[in-house]
Amino acid sequence: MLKIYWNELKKMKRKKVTMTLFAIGFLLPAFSVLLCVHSHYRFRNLVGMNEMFGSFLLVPFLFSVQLLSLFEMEEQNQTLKNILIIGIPKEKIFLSKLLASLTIVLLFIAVNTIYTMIGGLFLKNYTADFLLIFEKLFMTSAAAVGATFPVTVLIVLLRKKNLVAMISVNCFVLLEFLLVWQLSMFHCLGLHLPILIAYRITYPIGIFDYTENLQLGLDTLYYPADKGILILVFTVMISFAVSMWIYRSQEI
Amino acid sequence: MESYIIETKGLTKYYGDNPAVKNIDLHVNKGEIYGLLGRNGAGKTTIMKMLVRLTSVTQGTISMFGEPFIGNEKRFLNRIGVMIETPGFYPNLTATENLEILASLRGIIKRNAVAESLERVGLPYKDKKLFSEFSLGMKQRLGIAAAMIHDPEILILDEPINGLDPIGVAETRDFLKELSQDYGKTILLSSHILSEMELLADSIGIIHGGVLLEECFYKKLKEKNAQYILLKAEPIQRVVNIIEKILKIKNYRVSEENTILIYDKEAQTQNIVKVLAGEGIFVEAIDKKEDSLEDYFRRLTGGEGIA
Repeated sequence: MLKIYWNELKKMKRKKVTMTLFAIGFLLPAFSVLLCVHSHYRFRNLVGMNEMFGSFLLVPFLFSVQLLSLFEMEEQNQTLKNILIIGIPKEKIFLSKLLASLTIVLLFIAVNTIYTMIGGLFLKNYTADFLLIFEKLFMTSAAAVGATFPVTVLIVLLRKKNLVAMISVNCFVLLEFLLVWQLSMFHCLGLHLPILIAYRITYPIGIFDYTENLQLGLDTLYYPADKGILILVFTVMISFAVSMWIYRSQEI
Repeated sequence: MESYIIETKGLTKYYGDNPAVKNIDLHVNKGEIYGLLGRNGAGKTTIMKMLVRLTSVTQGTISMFGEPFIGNEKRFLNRIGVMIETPGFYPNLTATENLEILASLRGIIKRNAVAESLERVGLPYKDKKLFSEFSLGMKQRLGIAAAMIHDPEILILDEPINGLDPIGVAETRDFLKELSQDYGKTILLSSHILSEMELLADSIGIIHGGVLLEECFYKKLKEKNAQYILLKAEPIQRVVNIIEKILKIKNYRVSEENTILIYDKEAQTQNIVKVLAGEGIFVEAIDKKEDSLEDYFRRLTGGEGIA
């Protein structure tokens, strides 16, 4: 399994989609840092912004697009047959692709943390705790990835039609972000969608510099964590099972 | 009972309600080059895909190395090298990087397996050229290199000379012959290029419309169809009547150019000319000829050519 996973990472070498994702992952967090530094915000504002844009926009985007790219490259180049004739089960191929995409997400969380720490040097109320920030960004990203897991069904279903798949996956991610962004509007608080639940249960994690203003947010956004986690776990499990079943039953 | 290295019984594949191949009984002997011959879309690739479990089998059984091959068992697949359809590789990687991935997935521990494999097909090791920059011939060579990287006992190659230049074709032919003769490898290859099959194959299976029409040793096939009489005379319908009713010849066919090909071994040219002249028919041409594989293929498939 480790061998298959390692080879999935090797396949990303010189791949344009991966290089673009790396560029986006490296450049975009810089904007929120520059914005916060320029406006002399507090450090918690930068953390909040990186959680919102990094964990709930970029992480689902990087995860989905990288996963799609790994699946579609086997289709476009007819390389899946090379792996299957070795006798490697489709389940392992599927899992290794998921792990490779999650590796990109993990790398981004580290990059986002570094940006946040560097930005913090210029901001008020800076908490110079790398692990604490990494943990906060990791938890929010993990929840966002879990909520984005239904995209794996889309990817497996549409991977043979690259353009349609790319448009669908990006629309899915964008819609998720818009819902999170406009959470308190359009009756979104009444919706039990995984991405909204992911945001609502991880919202308190981001608060390490408590103010009364944030209590208002907590009162509005509060979602029972145990119920929320259960919903996210089920989302991941059902999406995983369905996409795996589709992938296994499709002939090359 | 004779044991074959590859044997199928009643192998059938349906895509929905449409049969792709029906009741294929394939028999491949150890160490031979078996040529699966058929037009495009005849079902050659489907048979090969089923043999390595790339596609499910609707009905029938497959035996490999004298044992039933049911799932995608590694113990069988590790002994088989495959190149099916166009060679698929990652365009963003070099030939060496592509083969290194396959070697790693196969668990090959031999250090220079990739270098040896590339050298065998005449591709440079550690070259910086990406697969996307390869010509069709180079891609085909890399496909063969990938199929051989683990030194398999059986090689299953789908149209291996497609896209190769004349020198590449000759090199591949020699190389495959060497693998079979010197190293005892069994090679199952498909092609629609009859001339190559004639030069390469020890045994031939002719497939048409998803059905295996004939399977035999190429030498026997040559003997069986060594000669025929080519007759050109008009009017063709009257000539046919005389051949059937007076000369009592049943094994013949009328070709596209209004000539009659007589395969009856008892038939003699002098007798045919004499009978036709007696019936007042002028024989324009009569000659003893040797049947080519293409002629045989046409006859077997009801007059349809290979291309």
